[in-house]
Amino acid sequence: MAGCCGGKNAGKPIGLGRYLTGLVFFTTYHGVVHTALSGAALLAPRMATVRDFHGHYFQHLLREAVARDGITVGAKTDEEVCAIEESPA
Amino acid sequence: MSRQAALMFSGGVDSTVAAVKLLEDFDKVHLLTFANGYGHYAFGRTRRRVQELDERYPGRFVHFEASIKQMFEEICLSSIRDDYRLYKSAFMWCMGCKLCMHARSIIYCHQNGIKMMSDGSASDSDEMVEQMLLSVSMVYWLYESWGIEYFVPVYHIDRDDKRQMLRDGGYHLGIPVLDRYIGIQPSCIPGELYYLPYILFNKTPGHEEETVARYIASKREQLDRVIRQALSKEAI
Repeated sequence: MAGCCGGKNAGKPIGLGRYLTGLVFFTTYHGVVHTALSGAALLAPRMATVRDFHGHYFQHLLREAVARDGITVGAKTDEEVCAIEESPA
Repeated sequence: MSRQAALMFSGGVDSTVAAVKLLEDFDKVHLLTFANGYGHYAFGRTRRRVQELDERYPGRFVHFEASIKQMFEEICLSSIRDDYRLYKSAFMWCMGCKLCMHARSIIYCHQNGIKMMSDGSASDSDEMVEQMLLSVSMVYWLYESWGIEYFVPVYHIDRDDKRQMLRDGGYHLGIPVLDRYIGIQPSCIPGELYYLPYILFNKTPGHEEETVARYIASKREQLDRVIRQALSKEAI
């Protein structure tokens, strides 16, 4: 069951290949969305709020992803990443 | 009088199993589907699922679709810049959207004399901000204050068991990708973007319980006002 620290896979290590592929996919998806939002904001000015919000969020996430903040690449650990305390019987 | 309940419905694994389970206790189940107008698409998938349910249980379901765009703009988008500065995360897009869906559900329940409301929230998806136990609890209180009982019929059913139930019933299951099935419910681009770091990098999503609680509490007054306005218009 999930629920102890942000989902059952949260914090688990990933391989370098997955990290790099993920980074490319991440940047491409956000880039496409930002381009679409920029176009939409030209046609409908109220979309500028969404474009700006997305821009700030994307920059923030990209900085974190590049710095591997909260991402474990390549490390193997014997420790349980997300130990769930058992309640007494 | 027939026993009725409403269910927030996407057509995905959780809400489909919830729909079938509700038939054990209710004569009629109202399936409510909402779109916020910002990156929500492929609602044909939900309609196909409703068709599947109708074929198996004729006359037991009522499907209702509505836009919550105006409400979403008022409650979530109008303050998103300030909220982002305050909470330093984008969870409020998903949480704000879900709160609007709940508000619209309360309006629907009142308009149709329904006292029981549910959704497909699940503990094995609680990395999603709106399915965290805390969010579910705070939503419960929102419904309670409007005289509606909110419950989550599949919260503790294991995901594999739910899938098996759908397989046994001969329902369309979509394409398996990682531990999910895709192509059976509407997609949400902002939602995908928010959970992308978790999906791609196993990075913990950026919503602490305390922050989410503060956000939900901060929206409470607006939600109540929007519901009150809609119901008073109806009364006129």
